[in-house]
This record gives sequence, C-alpha cells and structure tokens, in this order.
Amino acid sequence: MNKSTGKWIIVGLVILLIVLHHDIWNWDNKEPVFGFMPMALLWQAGISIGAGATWFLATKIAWPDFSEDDVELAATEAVSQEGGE
Amino acid sequence: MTQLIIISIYLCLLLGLGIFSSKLFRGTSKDYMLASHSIGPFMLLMSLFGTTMTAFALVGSTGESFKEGAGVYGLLASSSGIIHSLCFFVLGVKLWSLGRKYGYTTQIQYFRDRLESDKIGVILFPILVGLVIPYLLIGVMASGTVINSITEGAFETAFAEYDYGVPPWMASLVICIVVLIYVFFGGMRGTAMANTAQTIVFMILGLITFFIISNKLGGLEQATANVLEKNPSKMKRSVDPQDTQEYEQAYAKWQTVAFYNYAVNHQKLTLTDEQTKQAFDEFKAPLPPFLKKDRAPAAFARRNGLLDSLSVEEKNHALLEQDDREFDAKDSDHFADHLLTHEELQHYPRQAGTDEAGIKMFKAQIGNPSDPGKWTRKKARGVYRASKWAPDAPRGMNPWKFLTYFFVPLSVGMFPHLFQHWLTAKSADSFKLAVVAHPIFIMLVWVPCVLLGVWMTSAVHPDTGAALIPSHFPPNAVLPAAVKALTHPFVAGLLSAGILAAIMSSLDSQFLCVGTMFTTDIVTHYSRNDRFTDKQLIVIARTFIVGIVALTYLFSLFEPRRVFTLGVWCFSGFSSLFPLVLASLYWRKLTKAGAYAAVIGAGISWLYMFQDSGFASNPHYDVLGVMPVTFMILISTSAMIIVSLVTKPPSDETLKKFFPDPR
Repeated sequence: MNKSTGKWIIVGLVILLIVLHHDIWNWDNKEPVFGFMPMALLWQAGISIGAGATWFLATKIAWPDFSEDDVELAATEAVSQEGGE
Repeated sequence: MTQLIIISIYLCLLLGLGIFSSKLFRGTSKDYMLASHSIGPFMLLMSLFGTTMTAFALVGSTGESFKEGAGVYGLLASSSGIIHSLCFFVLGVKLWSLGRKYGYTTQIQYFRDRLESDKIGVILFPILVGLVIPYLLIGVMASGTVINSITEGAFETAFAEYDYGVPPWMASLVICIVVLIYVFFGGMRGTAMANTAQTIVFMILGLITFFIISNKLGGLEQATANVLEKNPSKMKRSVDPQDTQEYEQAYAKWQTVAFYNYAVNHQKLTLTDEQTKQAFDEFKAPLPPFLKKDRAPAAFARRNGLLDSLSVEEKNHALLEQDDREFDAKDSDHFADHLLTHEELQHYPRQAGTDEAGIKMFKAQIGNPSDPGKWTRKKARGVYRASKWAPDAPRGMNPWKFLTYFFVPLSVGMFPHLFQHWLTAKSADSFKLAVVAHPIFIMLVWVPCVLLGVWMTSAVHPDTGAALIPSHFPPNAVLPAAVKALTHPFVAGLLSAGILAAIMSSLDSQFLCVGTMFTTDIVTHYSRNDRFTDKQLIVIARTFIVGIVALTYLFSLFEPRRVFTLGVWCFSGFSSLFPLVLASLYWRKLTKAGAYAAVIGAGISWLYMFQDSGFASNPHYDVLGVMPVTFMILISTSAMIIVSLVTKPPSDETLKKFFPDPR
C-alpha cells in the first residue's frame, strides 16, 4: 500500500470517529453498562480506544516521509554557522 | 498533619530530581531550552502527556462532572484523544523537521521566517504569553485549593480562617517556588525528567485512589446505584423526568420560604405561639433544625393564606432577597408584570459577601475539623447556599454545544510549550509512541475522575449516612474533599502528591517556555549579535519567568473561577490561532497580511467574548447555542483566507524553503 492510500484511510477513520463521537442516540440512556458504567462514558471511552487504534495504524501506513539525513545535515550546518555548541 | 508531611517529602524529592538533572546540564542555552534534541520516545510521550494533563484533567474534570454529569468526558477527553494526536501527527512532526532544519526554538521564530515578517513576533508574543497566563493560573489556583482542602485540621490553633489547614495563598506560593527551583536547576532536561516521573506518579496514584474510594462507597455498582436513585440526570446528557419533578417541588417550596421571609421582614407578619406550635406539629419532613425553622412556618403561612396579600412585585423582591441577588433599578418598570422565572432570576448578579453570611449563620458549628462535631468554613458556606439559595435546576447538554466543543482541543496545535517539547525529540520516529498512546493515557486519567465526580453527587458518608458533598460545594474542591473524606490520612497524603504531580508537570513546561520565548523572540532578536553570553541569556530567561509567575500568583489571589471554565477559555484562545499554524504548513497562498488578519481577528473576538462571559464567571456561556470558540475560529479563518487571497503572495525563495515538493 502506498502512503497516499494510507493517508486517505486515516482521513476516513478520523471522520468516522468524529461522527461516532456525536452519539446523539445515547443522549437519554441512563442505564449503566456492567452494572456501574454510564453509557455516556463507556461509549466515549470506546472512542478513545478507537482513536488509539487509528493512530497506531497511521504510524504504520501513513507516517510522513522525509529524510532525517537532510534534517541532520541542515541542523549541523546551522550549528557550525553559529560557531558550534 | 500526616498529609502535610507526605506532601512536603514529595516536594523535597522533586527538588532533589531537579538538582540531579542539573548535573547533566551542558551549560548552553540550547541545552537549557531544548535538551539538545535528545529526548527519546518514552520520555517524549510522558512529557507531552504530563504537560497537557493539568489541574484541568484531574481537579477540573472531577468538579465539572460533579456539576454536569458523565457527559463531561465526551466534551473534552475523547475529542482530545482524536485531535491532540492529529495535531502531533499533522503539525508536530512537520514543525519538528523544520525546527531541526532551520534551528528554530520557538513558534515566533518559525512564523517570522515563514511569513517574511519581523513584526508578526511583536503581535504574537503578547498574545501567546497573555494566553499562557490563564493556563498557569489554573495550576497555581488548583494547587492552593488541593493543599488547603487536604490539610484541613493539620494545625491546632493556627490558620483558623483557612479551616486550620495550609492557606491556599501559601500553598500556591510554595508550589510556584518549588517548580521554579527545579526548572532553574534542570532546564528542559530537568523538566522532561520531572514530567516523566510525575506523570508515572499521578497515573498510578490516580488509579489507586479510584479503587479505594469506590470500595468505600460500597463498590462500583453501589456507587452508581446511588446516582441512579438520587441524581439520574448525572448518568446521561438529558434531564431525567425524576430530577425535573423533584426540582419543581423543591423550587416551589423554596419560593414559599422566600415569600414568608419577605412578609416577616417587610410586612411584620408574625405567627402566634399557637400557630407556631401547630406549624411545627404539622411539618413532617425530616430536616435539620436550621432548615425546619423557616420551612415549617412558611408552609403553615401558605396553607392558611397568610401570604396571599403579597403583590407580584413584592414576590419578585422576595425571590431576589432569598437568593442573595441585587435588585437592578432599571428593571423596576416591568418588575410587576409577572413572577420571575428561575432563569430570569439568575440574570440578577449575586450580592458581594454572601459567603460571610454563611460563616455568621453557622458560627457556633464552625471549628477545627479534627473534632468530628465541628464544621469547616467551606461546609458552612456550602450548607448556607444549599439551605438559602434556590435549588439548582437540572441541566442537560445541548448537542450543538457538545459538537462544537470539538474545536477546543485544537489549542494543542498552538501551545507554545508543546512546540518547544516537540523540538526536543531525538528523531521524527520518537513521536510515534506519543501519537498512539496519548488517547489511551487520556482515557486512563479521565474515566476514573469523571466517574468519581458523578458518584460524589449522590455519595453519603459510610459512617454517618450524611451527604458527603452538598450540591453547592465549590467544584474545584470536590476531588480533594472526596480523597480526604474517604481515605486514610497516609493514603490521602500520597494521593494529594499525585494530584500536585499532575499540576506541576504542566507548570514547569509553561514556566520554561515563557522564559525561552522572551529571550529568543525579544531579547536576542532585538539585540546585536553576541551581545549576551549564554549564561546571561539564562539569567534573563529566569528573571522574566519569575515576573510572569509573580503576576499569575497575584491573579490567583482574586475570586477563584471554575478550573474547567477557565481552562476552556484559555484553550479557546489558542484554538482560534490554530488555522494560522495549519495554513502556514499546508497553504502556499498564506500571506503576511493574511496572518495578521487571523491573529487580530482571533484576539479581538476572544477578548470580546471573554469579557461578555463576565471573565469566565458564567460557566454556561454560549453564543447562539454553540461554543464561543466556533465563532473565534470562523472569524480568524475567514479573515486569514480573504486577506491572503487579495494580498501579495510570499516570495519564491520562501515557498521553496517551506514547500520543497512542487505541486
């Protein structure tokens, strides 16, 4: 899978998380889940787990590409121009 | 006293860590400000997380869910899990690479370069520092509240006016000094190390607190069952019919008391001895004597038509008096039109000094809380409010407001202290762990805090059966009050250290950041090359930090605001600048003038709405039913786009520098 496809998958998942976050269908639900957890809280905790999973996928399929060698080289040049540390 | 000793030991350990990290200090300003870009994935995760989880996450979330219910998690925690990592991913990594490439230490250096404008720093510097101050204020204020609440009764005779605990002003001062010392000794490296240690401390102790308290409340299921029985609206985001019914009954009874007190005070209504005896005989509600003394004769007077002679205008005055609100003479024309609704009544400002009335009323009960029969002054104020003021109307969450809360966590993109933390990363890959683990860590901290706040609405003391926290209790003190009431003093001391760890792990980064901005963006930028040595720059940074901390400390001595409300205002200000940083990285057409328009639009709209909300004194402020941040972002974005499209684009050289890949 190329990086561009990966980025679009992540964009789609983030939009899905945002839509699911607005859980209007749970607004009136006061019944606890597992006997103690308010649904309003459990659903949103699930969104947090979903976010963690999405960002894990992002590091695998959509992590930005840039050469760290270039960054290091430019940083070294900048330091030597300043007179070094 | 045990709690105070444990907190003192913790603060000493922290100072030791600062001194230890100073041994690793390389003596350069770059090492002081950016730890020489040496921070790896684990420490980057812990320091980023510790920095973003402030008093707001622990003290604020518990207090807010005590007031507003379980929906509070969805307002900011779950959205932050999505948005914070998105910002690390979309902005953080890119800004890190640019920062490493071109040697930036602060946001303003980057914006000056990207926008080809020296003056953008002059306008951004006061705005960024000005927005950091309320952020600092949250931590300074909350640390004072936490230490004061947890040490109540620690002294036998000293500090009686602070419930025989450490006064909040003294506690805040000590915390500021401790953080200043370890930041001064260790710089960014010390800050990152202290953040890592403190984040581990507050996460572990937070989870332990949660289980100890839930056990004391009879277990997870029992604690929630109490809420379902007494305050079902706190379990959801709409108002439960049971709460509406109970509120309507309580409000009607409260009105009767208001009318009766007015008739007694202004119309010389007096019940005969026989009527008084009859009133108390007929009053069956199991209330404490201080409530019965008003309510029994009031109910009798209403039943027997003794209040019928009051006019509408007199009744409205009665409601204002009972609720300790000031009459506004300009409303006198239509004051007689109809009986004020509860909502209309709330528009009248509260009289100053009402807390003192509470202290006066319960003077006999107030004493050292180490004596179980005595009340704290906080309790006296809470009971006064609960017994004299109108009951709180149950409140649901507006779905539009809930939706637009999503804009608040965008603030992370413009936090100057996070920008600085991003630049400490050893490599771009160091960000991966932070991006993935941040939402999960937020969940681990917020879920217990929100549950605790919800449970406290209906919790009773396991020994006495009395309500643990009255409904008008100050929200900022809910977490420490729960910890103190339900845990052993030794554990309470450890847990308070955990809360302070969370607060200090944000204060340190913010302190360091304002010093870095001042030396880099103002002092070095506007002085000739090599005018100041590295050592002199560090001294200048420290002096400026002390000045800002002193200013924040002074603000903390004024009337406290809800931590959550103040935090949301501060974050909203930073969020309104988010379009600027996003456009600077991804929109080639962003111009210098467009950036100015965005900053001015954001600044003016924030200032206008902040003062309109009574400087954060109204926790339910909105604009057309949505969060004010929505309009701030709309205004800054529109101004930025329109002005950028009609002004001169950046030079080719700048575009090549920041957008090397041709489109």
